[in-house]
Amino acid sequence: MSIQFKTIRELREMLDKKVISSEELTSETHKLAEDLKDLNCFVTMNKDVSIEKSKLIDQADKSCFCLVRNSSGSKRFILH
Amino acid sequence: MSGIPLAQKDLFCTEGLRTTCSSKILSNFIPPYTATAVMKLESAGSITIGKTNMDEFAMGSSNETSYFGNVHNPWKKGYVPGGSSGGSAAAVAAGIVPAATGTDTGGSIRQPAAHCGITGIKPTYGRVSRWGMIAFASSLDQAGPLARSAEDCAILLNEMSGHDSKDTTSLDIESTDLLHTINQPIKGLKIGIVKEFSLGDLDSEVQNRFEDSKKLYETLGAEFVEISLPNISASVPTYYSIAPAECSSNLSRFDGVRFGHRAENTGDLNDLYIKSRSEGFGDEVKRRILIGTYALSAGYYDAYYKKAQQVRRLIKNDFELAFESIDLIMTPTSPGTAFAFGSKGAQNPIELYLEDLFTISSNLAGLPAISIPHGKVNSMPAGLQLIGNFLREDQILNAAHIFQQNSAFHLDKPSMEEF
Repeated sequence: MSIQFKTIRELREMLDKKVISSEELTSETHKLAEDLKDLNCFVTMNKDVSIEKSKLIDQADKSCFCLVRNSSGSKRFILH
Repeated sequence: MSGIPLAQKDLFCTEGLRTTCSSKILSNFIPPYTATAVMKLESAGSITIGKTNMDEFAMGSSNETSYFGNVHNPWKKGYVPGGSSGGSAAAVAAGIVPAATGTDTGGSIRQPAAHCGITGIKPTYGRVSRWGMIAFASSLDQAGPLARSAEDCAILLNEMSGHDSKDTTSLDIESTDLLHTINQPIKGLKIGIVKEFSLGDLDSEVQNRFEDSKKLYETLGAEFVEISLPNISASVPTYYSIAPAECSSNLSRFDGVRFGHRAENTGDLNDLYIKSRSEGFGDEVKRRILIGTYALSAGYYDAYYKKAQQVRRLIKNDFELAFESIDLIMTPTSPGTAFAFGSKGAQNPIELYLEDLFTISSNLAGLPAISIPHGKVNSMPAGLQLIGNFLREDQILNAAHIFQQNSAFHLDKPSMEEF
């Protein structure tokens, strides 16, 4: 699924519904930036650090989800 | 914001990540700390994917002064994206990122947002910390977001705002959730139209778009009132006295010793300063340093800088008086739309300075202002500006959101076929 032209609200929904992981979203964003590099809108990319952070967020999301499910069985308290 | 990718204007210091201000003089600068505004966004879970191109030290309205080359407007190759936050605006308009940070000293968020068909807000001076932002004109600079909608701008601004003890101009105010105050009815909202702006002198298509937007607001229940800002015509000369003066002071720190580019084969210390700065700065930056140094020099300070500050107070007073009877002010964001590379300002820089005709006054007065897309002029996006009273971001974001709920201009996307 393309992430191009999505709003924050739409991306949030995709992440919450697990349509896409944070790592996939970050990688797709870097791919788009690379595909459109003729625009010259970036001076410096932060690829390695951003992908590392996205992996951590994915891991944290899984941890929070398990923690909440074990205690209340509700998804309402998933931390984002 | 957890997991949301963002781009940061290359004027915000980012620890361990090169920060150049699109200048040769900082082309190898890696900051040891992160700007508060970026830190707040990252603490909320957003992911910085890169740093965006811009006019050198934010001095420009077309992104043509960058050491790293021109940014193309996603709507038309070879056309400017506006400036100085042109890289941020282009990255959002091209759909690479959902939002990006920018800074606005005289229109540098709103004008590129208008030229690229997206939404951008300059907050009230002091709402967002300037700590870690490389200063251009300290009394005018303010950080803010560029995004695809007013709602997304509210999401970002919520995270970026807040008091910061590291910035002495940061406002110590109670935080407000700007997302909760959008989507309110605007029936009875009083919108001022500034008679001194002489909109009749603009391109007829720019006027038509403006009239169309006025009609839309009227159908939604807003009322229009003609207002007078008697000193507004002095905004551009006032700005171009104050901003260069502050820039000449702020940029004196870039001397080839402590930061960035250092010239080789130099003689004494003075020679090092002269050669490093001559090689490191571009023409527009040098022009503004010269103007500013002149305006601050002994014998001229009272005539230029002090006088400009006095006129600035008159402009601010005009706004204060106007806001006693209205809720917000509406203008076009820019006198025209995006133009071809090199077609403006090459012979006469004042041509480019006039790009900020409608945006500069809110920086001088420290007021919040937003630009939203409101259609096309000659197939390029045009922007509508809403200026709010001090700390009334809630009102302009609400008015912008309601406009976007009742129109589809913000949903337009460039084809990107040329790229």
